[in-house]
Amino acid sequence: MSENIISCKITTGESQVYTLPIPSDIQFGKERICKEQRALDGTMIIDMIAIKNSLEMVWNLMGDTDLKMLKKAVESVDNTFFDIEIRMKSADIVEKGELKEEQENDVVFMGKVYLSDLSYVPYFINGGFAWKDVNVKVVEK
Amino acid sequence: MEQIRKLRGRIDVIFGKEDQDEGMTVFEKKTVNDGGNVSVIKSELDNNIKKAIISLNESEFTNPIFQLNDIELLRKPRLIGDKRLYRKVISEDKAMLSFEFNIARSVTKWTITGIRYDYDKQTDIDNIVEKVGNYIIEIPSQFKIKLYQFKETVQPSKELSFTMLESDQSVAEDNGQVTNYVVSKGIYFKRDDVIMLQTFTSHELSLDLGLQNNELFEKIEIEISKVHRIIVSDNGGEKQFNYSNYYADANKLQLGNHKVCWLSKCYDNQTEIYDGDEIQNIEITRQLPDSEGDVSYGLVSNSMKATILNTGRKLDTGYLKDVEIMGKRVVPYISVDGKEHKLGTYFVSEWDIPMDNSWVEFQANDRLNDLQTITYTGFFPMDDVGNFKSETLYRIVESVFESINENLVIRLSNKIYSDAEALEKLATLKAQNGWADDETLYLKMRDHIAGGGKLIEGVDWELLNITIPDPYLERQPVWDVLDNIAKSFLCVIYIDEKDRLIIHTDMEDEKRYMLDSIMLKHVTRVDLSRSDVEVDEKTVTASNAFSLSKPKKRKGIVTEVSTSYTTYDFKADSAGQNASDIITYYLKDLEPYKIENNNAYYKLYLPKYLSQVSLDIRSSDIYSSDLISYNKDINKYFYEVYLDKSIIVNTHNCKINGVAISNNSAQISVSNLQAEDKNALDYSAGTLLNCVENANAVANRLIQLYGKGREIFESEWTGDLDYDVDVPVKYSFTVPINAVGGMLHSGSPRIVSNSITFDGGLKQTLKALSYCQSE
Repeated sequence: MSENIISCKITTGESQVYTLPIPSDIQFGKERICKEQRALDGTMIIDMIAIKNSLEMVWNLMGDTDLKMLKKAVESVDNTFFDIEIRMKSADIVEKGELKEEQENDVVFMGKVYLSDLSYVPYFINGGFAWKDVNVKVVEK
Repeated sequence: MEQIRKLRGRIDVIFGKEDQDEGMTVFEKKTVNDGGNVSVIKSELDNNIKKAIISLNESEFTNPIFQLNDIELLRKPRLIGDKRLYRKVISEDKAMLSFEFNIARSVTKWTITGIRYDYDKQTDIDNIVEKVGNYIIEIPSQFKIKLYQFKETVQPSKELSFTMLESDQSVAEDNGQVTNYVVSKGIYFKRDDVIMLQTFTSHELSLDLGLQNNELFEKIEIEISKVHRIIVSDNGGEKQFNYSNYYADANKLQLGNHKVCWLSKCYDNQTEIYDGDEIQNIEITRQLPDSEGDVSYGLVSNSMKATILNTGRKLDTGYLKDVEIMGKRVVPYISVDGKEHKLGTYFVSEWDIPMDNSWVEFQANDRLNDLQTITYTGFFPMDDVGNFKSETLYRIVESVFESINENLVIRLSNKIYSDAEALEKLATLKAQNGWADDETLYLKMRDHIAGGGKLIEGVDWELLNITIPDPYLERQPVWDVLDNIAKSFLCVIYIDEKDRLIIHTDMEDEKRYMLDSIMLKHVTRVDLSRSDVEVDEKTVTASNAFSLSKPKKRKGIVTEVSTSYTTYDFKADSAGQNASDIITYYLKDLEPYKIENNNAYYKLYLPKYLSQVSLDIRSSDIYSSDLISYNKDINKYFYEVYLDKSIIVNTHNCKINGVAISNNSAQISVSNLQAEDKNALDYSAGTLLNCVENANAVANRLIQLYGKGREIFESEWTGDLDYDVDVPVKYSFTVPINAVGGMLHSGSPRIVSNSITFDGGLKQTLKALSYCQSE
């Protein structure tokens, strides 16, 4: 997965740009926002409000400096929302006559998001420590 | 019922007076050319307008968006979300203003407002200006108005040309008569081939575009190709217009050394639109007085609450204070699967602006509440020879509408037809409903119109069946009169979602009134039907309701109807009777409420019935009829009294034949009681119930309606915004829910309370009432 990720940037409300290390893994998802109520006879009534993108990024191992930067980028109280831009390579199969060819394209995920979850585990090594399983979940504004 | 819905909410917050909703205004504003620099003197702006603009602008006041040569056209529309744009095209020989509306709207008038010229700076203008009372206005005199149904289209849907008459003109009419248009007597504009006299008041000139309210446009362009300066001589009497040839060569927008700019507004009213992420929730409560199932008639004002985003914390300080005098209205909309519902108009009463979060909550009431501040002029009908006479309740309601429409604050949306137009409408309704020529109510309405009455949308025709002998209503707030009417004759009065005042009575089983050009007919006790079948087909059932309840019917028996009332006795005394007391009584409360713009005189509006009276009003120094003049137009009778005189109302030689006042309190007891229930009902009526016959009718009707109890059906359900108070609803469910062989409950009562909660999801709580037919 990570070899296909080109870059991962966070821009805060103060236009401060943070370039994060390439994540080991990324998981995209959708969150459905709706009001659900059941009628007297059990029929589900749903008022659809919105469907929002969510994004989970995992770093298997991360240095302390990088983690501090990540926290600074996502934790700011004044900037609840920040812009995220993830650029990835995709390989599309293109038909050329009878031949099929693989063609590389850039895919960009962009959005204004807020931090939903952040977790990390200390990893002690050689008398010092780094962070493992750094996990960030962001949800579209 | 679709079980997955897409919903959107929107709230329009409107700053400004309602009577300006349809207008577009160009405001004139003087600038000083100081070495080529243009600056704007804020103090010369109309104060109200200045407040609106400064407070609604985010940018600096001196930041123009229109530039007309060295003339600044000031305007920065402020709409949350930047949903509206103004554009301009300025060249040497024309100025084009372009306005785009967020929502297609009707444009029926374009208003130009000029302010008084600064006399001190007029050194090179005709001497006439230096006379007291003269001032100059500068207005566009040749322009085209292009209206676009859709903002994207290139070709306008309508194009209107306006040219001001600059010299006298005589036009031969179709009937051979010649009409002379004398330009010194008024300002005339020629719209295509139509010449219109434009009344010039308060430095404001309003041009009728000749368009209908139902013609909607998304964009309007005004291309001004000529401007004229007019000297207005106004000495408190008739205005004279002097078309100075100062700008005889005014083919270009050259205004000489006198720099004047127009402040150009799209609306007199400014609308801020809150939607999407700017609204947290909307709650609307609409109910009738009997919403609790009690025997109750009167007025209840509907209300709404909403929480909106305090963008940039702008609502914290100053913003609201500055626009306070302009009046604030909010119009909530909720759209369900793309269908938008307007849910009434409300006037903001209270803002709650917490400092610890970004949301602002406000409460607002509908315009019924504001009727407490409007004065009803009184009602005391007399016939031609000065005798008091009976009137129908419809006629009294008509006089209430007259009082409301005279004010400048509240505008009801009821359409009112009179004379030929009313008869035409009546004929259409007759054809639509297949009434026979001798249909009683049709004949009554026809006679009513023929007698000078009006056909008012939303008012029950059954009110024509109620006749009140010698009705007397004094000057009082409109709210009190309506409350009196409601209590006296079991009327339901409310403001509907389209801002119309609806009045109908429970006195008879049938309620018939015109709404949206069709007759609605409710039959109270047998069933309820409504012409719009769309509503009828919707039903509260177990599959769309979250909770349902159907309490036991209530019982109540009328034992007594009482009222206190005042009578005016006629004495058939041919010699007449000194009536000074009664006149003094009328006039002591009379306060001038309208002052002409030249501040020359008060207008004293008097109750209509005093027009029959020969009244003597004296001013402080001399008795002079030229100081106090009596005027009469279609609906109003008033005296004009010059301001520099104090007024003494002297009625010593005023006589009205045979009038004496006596105040009575009376209890009207109903004789044919069926008083068997200890929880008997006492009903207190209004003072319009002033005779035993009517009191008996009310008592009998109450027994008929309530004698067997009433049923309230309450449901909390997914909601259908077509339902409002007074609309029939259908319901059906079995108890236990969905049980095979369960007991089926169904009914079609009338909604008396409608609460809507929208917080992303939509929920509606309806209470509906029906009268029990049998034990």
